[in-house]
Amino acid sequence: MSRPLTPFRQFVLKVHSRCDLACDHCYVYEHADQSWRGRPKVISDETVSWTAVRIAEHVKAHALNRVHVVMHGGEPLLAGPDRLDRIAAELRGHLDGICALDLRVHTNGVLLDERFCEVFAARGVKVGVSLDGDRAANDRHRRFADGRSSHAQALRAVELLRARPELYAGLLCTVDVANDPVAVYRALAELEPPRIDFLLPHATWDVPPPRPAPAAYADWLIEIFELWAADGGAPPVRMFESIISTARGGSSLTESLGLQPSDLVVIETDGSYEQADSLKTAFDGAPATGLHVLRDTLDEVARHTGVLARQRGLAGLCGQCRACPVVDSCGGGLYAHRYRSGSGFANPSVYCADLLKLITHVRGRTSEPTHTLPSAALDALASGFGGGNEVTHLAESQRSLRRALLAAVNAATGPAGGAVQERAWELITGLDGTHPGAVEAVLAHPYVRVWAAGCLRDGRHAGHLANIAVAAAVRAGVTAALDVRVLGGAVHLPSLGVLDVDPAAAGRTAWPETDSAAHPAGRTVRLEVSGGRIALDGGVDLDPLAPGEWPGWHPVRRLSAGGFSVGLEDTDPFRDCHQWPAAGRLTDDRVAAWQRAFAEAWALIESELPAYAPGLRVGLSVLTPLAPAPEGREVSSTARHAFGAVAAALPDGPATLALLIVHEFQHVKLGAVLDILDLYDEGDTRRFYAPWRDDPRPLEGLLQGTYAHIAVTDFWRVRRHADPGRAEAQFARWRRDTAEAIETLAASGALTPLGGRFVTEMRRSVAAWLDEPVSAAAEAEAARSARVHRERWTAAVSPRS
Amino acid sequence: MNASGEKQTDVTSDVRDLRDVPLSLVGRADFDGIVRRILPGSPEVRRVPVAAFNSSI
Ligand code: SF4
Ligand code: SF4
Repeated sequence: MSRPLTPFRQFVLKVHSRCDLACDHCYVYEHADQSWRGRPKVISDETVSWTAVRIAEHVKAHALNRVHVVMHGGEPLLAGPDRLDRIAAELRGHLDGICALDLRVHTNGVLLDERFCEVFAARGVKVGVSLDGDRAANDRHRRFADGRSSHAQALRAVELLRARPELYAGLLCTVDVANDPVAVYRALAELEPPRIDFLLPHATWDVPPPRPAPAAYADWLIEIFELWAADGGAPPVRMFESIISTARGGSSLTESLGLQPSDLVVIETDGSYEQADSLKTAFDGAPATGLHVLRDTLDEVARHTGVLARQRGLAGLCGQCRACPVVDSCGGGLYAHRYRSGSGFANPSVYCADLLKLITHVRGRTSEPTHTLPSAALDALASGFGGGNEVTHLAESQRSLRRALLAAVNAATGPAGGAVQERAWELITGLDGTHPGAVEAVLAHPYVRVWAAGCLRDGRHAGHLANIAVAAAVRAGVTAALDVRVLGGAVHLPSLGVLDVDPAAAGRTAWPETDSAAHPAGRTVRLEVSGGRIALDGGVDLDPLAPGEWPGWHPVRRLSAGGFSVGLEDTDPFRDCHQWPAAGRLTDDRVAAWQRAFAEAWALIESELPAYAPGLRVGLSVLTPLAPAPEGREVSSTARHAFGAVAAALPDGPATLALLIVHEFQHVKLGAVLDILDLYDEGDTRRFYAPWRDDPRPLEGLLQGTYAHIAVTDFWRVRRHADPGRAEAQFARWRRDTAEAIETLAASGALTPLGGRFVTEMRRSVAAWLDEPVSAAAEAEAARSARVHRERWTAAVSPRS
Repeated sequence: MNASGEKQTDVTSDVRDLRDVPLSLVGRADFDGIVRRILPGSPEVRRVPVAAFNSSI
């Protein structure tokens, strides 16, 4: 299966190849590549039209929702306002309406005047200006050919933009460590740019940058970082934000840092496609692709080996970078800066010492303790598996989420909850100090988070906090008394069970809402707790962990097998959060049936799917019976807030229960990963084809489904010996469908770098299974059913005329 | 070592580690980010950049 190419989203359009300044650090004129000499000065209208056509066809082919085009040079304003107007109009004419077009121009500012600004305002063009800092700094390099300063002109340009903030894109400053970093930063920040970019001067191992101290560039930037941090991180500095973002698993904001595939292409004034401009530093002809806008599509450029080389992420880096602790943020630095004659680009950046020091410093200064996941654990989870250690990492981060939610509920509802709520909060926070294990055992119950999330959404059932506190007090064995909430005639103690206080209501599953105008706090009863026993006015006194003491107490029963035990949760009022209705309290016979099925299913998991067992032992705490499935169907479900719970109607055979458990637990794992890490853009509202669904799926749905189907595929894969005919057909079908969905995810353009990495690991698992032999009949049937489903889906979702 | 024999580093979440913060001291600064993160339907959908513009060309 061929990998989809990475579409371009950033286009640098060279509109003029000459410049009115003669900066001595300029990569266009002063570095190895001298191709500018043979190029037309100005881009022709024909080349602009073709460029717009090429971008538009690329946008359509890859369903891109946004592209960025920057008009660049040399000095783009030398093209004149009329031509820039025509260029912008041409681009907008082809692209507006099919995607969002972020159109910019990057200038030295010398020629910027009202006339240009009018054009840019009319065409929606944002303007970035190059400025190296204060006058002394700027004068060091940015001069006219006769040596005059360009500082006054650049400042005038910035003032024009400050008067028209909608046009002001930001400032670009090339670092020179001979300049005073404080003066440079203050001079730039004073101009209130929407963003500052610091650019390391282009250099290679062959032509290294001037370096007065071993990590002079880091030291220089760290001084600025400290000022910036003290100013509260304003104005935004892309380099620093990028380091902070990537350290937290987010995207890099600049091509010069991070592991994201390059998605940038340059179109020169003569219409030739080039790779990043920075490569001009490496050697003469380095950026060339030999492709041309008149003849070649952007897809062809995207397949160019030089372009592909810059899209390989971690795998494309040298050994030293791959082993580097800050590689997620650094990514080996700018590609061009790695160049050395002989070894080409297979080196760390010539700024390696600076990048390592700067990134380490920024990470250290900005980190509040947050959860982390070892890369190897993430990869193991991403592959569809993940053992005890990996799931432990997820479970530990869930502890923080629950504590945050509980505190948020108290903050949101405490004031209205009065003395009852206050006492409940006091009890639970006190126990958190003295008996943390007891508190954690209750909070870890999957439906506590479901309750908290619901309560934060709609403010209802806040009084349940007292029930949580009492459950913790029971587990802690302390003495306490609290007014607890009655729901549906019963008092629910999460993780322990339910006490009928109104026997007439016992056995109900759809608990009525008791919050009403008449009883805003809902009904409560006073429960006393001592030495692990609970007592109720009226003579009830029982040990909730010793079942059978009192007929109105219904404890959470447990299923066990092979030294592993889970709660069979048929008491908690917040368990009815699944796609299917929860079953009511089970009879003893039904519990016995569950126990038999669980014992066999667990034995099957341990013997045939051993890779899943350790993760389940750590992470699966509750099975929640669902109402019986419609004839001939299996129903099972997980809920995003119920970490640790799998819900199912008892299926016909233990093998099916095993399948449901491993399938659903995939959702539990992935949900917990998504709770802490960004794998995709939640703001992306597109819908995608999922081979197992009749409806188009949002990205999260597709990701969840695909991840779960890795386990489904694996299940049928191992079942081929026990159930050869059926299992082989199922295996052939699911591996095909899962592999297809993985490619849809990979090509979606909606994954973060971490998400891309996650999907790559998913692919690795399934790719190995694609090579396993299956009968021709099974393969043909899988292909047929995939085709039929796709055709039916396409017919159903395509707009009817 | 992971499956591909690569480096052993950590992926960092922006979810604050509250395991050792006493429940009574878990404050708004601690829970706001987490609540926004895990409760869908918050007024503004969190957007994570997947195709950010790079000016450092
Ligand atoms: S203004 Fe830009 S293009 Fe012109 S010489 Fe200076 S660095 Fe080069
Ligand atoms: S700091 Fe150096 S070794 Fe680490 S990724 Fe960057 S260039 Fe490579």
